[in-house]
Amino acid sequence: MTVALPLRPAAVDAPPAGGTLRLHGPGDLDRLDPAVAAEAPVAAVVRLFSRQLVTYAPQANLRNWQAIAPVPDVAVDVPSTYNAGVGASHRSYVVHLRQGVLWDTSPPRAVTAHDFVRGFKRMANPVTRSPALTYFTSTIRGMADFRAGFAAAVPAAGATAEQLAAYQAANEIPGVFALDDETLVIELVRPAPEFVNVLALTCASAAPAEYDAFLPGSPELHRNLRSNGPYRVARFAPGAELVLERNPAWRRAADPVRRAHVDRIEVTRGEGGPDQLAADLAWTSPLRAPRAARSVQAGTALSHALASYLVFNLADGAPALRDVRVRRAVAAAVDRAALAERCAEPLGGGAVCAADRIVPPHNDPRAGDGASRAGRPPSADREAARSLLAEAGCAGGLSLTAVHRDRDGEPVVAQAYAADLERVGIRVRLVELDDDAYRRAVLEPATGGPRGWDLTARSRVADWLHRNGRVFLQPLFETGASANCGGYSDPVVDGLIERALEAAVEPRAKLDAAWLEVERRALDDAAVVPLLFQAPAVPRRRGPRVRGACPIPARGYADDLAALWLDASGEDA
Amino acid sequence: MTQTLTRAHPPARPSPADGRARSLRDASWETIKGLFALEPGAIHLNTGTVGAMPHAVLEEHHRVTREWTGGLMDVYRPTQFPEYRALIGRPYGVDGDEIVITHNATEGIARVINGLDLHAGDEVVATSHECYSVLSNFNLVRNRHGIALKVLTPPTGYGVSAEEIVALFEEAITPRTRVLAFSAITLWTGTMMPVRALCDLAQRHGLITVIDGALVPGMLDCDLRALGADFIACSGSKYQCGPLGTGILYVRNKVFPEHNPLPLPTLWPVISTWYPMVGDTPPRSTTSVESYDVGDYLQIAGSASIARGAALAKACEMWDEIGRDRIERRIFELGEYARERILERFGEQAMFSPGADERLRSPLVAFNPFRRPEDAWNVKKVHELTERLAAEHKVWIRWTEFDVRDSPHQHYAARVAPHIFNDHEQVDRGIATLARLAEEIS
Repeated sequence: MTVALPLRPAAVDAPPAGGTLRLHGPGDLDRLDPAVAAEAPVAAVVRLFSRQLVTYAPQANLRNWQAIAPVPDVAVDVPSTYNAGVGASHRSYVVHLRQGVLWDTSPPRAVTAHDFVRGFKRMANPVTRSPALTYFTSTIRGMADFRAGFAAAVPAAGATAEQLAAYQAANEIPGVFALDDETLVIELVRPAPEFVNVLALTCASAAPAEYDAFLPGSPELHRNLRSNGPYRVARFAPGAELVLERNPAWRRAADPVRRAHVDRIEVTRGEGGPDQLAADLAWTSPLRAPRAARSVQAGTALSHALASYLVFNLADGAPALRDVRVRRAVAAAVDRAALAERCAEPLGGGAVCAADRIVPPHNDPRAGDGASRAGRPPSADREAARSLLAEAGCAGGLSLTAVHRDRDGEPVVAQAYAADLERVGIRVRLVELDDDAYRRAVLEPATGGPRGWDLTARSRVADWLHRNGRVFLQPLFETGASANCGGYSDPVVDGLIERALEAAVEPRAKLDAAWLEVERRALDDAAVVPLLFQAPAVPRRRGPRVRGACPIPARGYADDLAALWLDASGEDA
Repeated sequence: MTQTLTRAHPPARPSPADGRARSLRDASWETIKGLFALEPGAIHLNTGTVGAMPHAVLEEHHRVTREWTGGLMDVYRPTQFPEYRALIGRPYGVDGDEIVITHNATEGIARVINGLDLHAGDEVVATSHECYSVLSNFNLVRNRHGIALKVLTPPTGYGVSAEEIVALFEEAITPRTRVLAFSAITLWTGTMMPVRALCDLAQRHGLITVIDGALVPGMLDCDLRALGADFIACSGSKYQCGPLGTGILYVRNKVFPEHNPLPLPTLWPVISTWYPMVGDTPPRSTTSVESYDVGDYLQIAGSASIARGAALAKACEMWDEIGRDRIERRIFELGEYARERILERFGEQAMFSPGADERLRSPLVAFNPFRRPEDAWNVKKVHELTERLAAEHKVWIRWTEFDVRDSPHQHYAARVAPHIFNDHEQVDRGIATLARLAEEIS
């Protein structure tokens, strides 16, 4: 990783404690249950009350290797061969838990290896889809079967917390077990050198026994969240407001990563624009600090996001979309170059450019001579689109429904691609959904009945930054994967993904080649239409009171909310 | 003499210059035990990790260090160690040009693996029971040159046979295979691999053999050349009881068709100040006379500790004086005694080391000391056992970790590894203490 962007290092002298940190903006604020929460932006607050075995430390110097390497959290060490945490076969991980990590129960109770076992089981629940589940089910021994058995035993519709708890109590994930309260063993189906990054995901958090009484992601669960981090949830109104206060059970000595300078953190959801700038930090797609404008190009050396890509509903959308020629026609019709220009401002953050492949720049597999490309110029090829539609028997036109939310530039993107599609004879009905409706229609597993959409634009950032060949390709294209919200399924792609996972121990070139083959096939099949890439927004725009802010690169370059403090004078730092 | 590591011809032994050699040859084991710098009251059953230095070796190390400290002497020529290499090689039936004094077995194995002329697509067959230094260096070469590394998990348990192991390797060989790599005696389960049979297999397929022989020197009275291998990387501080930071590397440098008729493999002597600065080395020999001293190319690599070479040579000299055949018999007798005691207490089902096939037995015995079979994958228990044995009872053993075929679990074992500074009473006491503590932890 190379970056020429100088970031001001956090001051190390004892910063003043106290005050209320305020975040405001239109970002997701619907789920805090660690097992099923999305990574961004809620991971920034979830990590304050829910700890993982390993995590990432804030890092001012983005050139520092530690910017992207996991560090111990509840684990005493990051498991490795050299601390006997990983066996020679790299299929067995032994994790020793730190003492003094407590739940905010009454009285405070130690976090145990059994809590992590419970956390892994909850992640596999059939009711609420965990966005990162596929990393676990394809890596941990027996977790895929556990999940399948779970789904078979407890149908999602009408499931109760008691049923879920009973299944979890009666069944084990063979590859996840506690030797005792302080020792967890995780066995893999194959070596996965990136596995410590998987363990750092929010969904790999410990879960207390109290969670067995609630459905994952439910309002009841959200009213009963427990904390083992520096803050706890004082008030949470999904989609509207979150208030965190200090957790009296948290011990600084038992947390090597987090600090806790401010007394209280308030997140309010609302429109973007000037309102969020009046807060200390934006709760949205991040805004870059104005003074960093000239550093945009330098910032492009960091892991980019797939800021927008079109998803086809192949599960219950328009039947015509199952014809690859129609999907290719859609891909050819969209003028990505114009879209990039139009969306630069609405998307905020770092520089935006037209996507020419699925994997964004500065992620694995790297674009090289063998890299797959969209194969089309960023401008639209309407002739090709019309011709493909004619071949598919849609010369007379096609009507599709596209859904989007009113946030983060989604309406602008939707209007732009809809206009492009109109030009080749595809009529697009745009439907704006609120967060809850959008989640049910797009993100949750289909529970029968049409979901009412054919197209939607999604975005994705890397879940980790090193050896991350799987982070864009596996969740989007593996059959049944949680981020594969269009229901794409191709046995050939599944086989290529499996082969790429098997190649994890092979030399870099071979591993990259395996993932590039997945990407090539997905592009050829027009499984999705990549639209825009975006550089990360670093440094971020911060309010004048904020001091000591420091990003966590592997968490979408979001500021570590536990590391910063507030200057009562309010003068711009 | 072990059945798998047979000597082709008896080595020439140094003539004792004084009566000490004769006295050591005839000395009782109790007397010999007194030669070692051991902590009083401790039972050292962990020579698989590190041996105990004899006082004379320690003194030699100090003497030579003092001799060379602050002087104005040429430090480069002595670190070629020609006399010591010849002395060390002699009892193993090999010459000084085939021996390198290294810092440890890892250095030897790393120099060999990184010095092999391997290219993209070439295949190496190794086992998951190799020392990490073997697997990490082959992985390095895999990443650097694009070789394929096929890692086999050898069978474990009391009933394993040599034929099973050879068949496993044979099945893994393909037309792309260039190298077979294996331990002479595995660190984790103490399996004496069928070295000669595996070298025969390699020769039949025209393959290079790289052996991790960390435990060979000081334990086995064998002819290295007769094993038929190309490279054997050994430790000087385990059974040979030299100082930490000593190793012995055997590099086949001439062709004896009766042992290995294959051409000498290309070896690039990485880490060397002797490799020509222009031009290259002479062609490798195709006869029993070396064309050049490959050992020099590997040995001469800047300034080095002269004391470590001297001290290692002293340890080897002592072994020659005591009698290597005698030492091997004693170690194996103690190992067998330990195996019997362990079998009595824990049963065959607890054994990870072979037993039924005598050819595979070494003095290292690895087993599950706990009541429940599933405790064999509980690292906490075996770690507690070894820690408490050392802290509370001064009994030093080691826990080992390894894969077991057809099991998804990483397995852990208690391993005892006696040497000539142990006796039967220590083996009895050590294993009885271990059993009591394991039962308590169970």
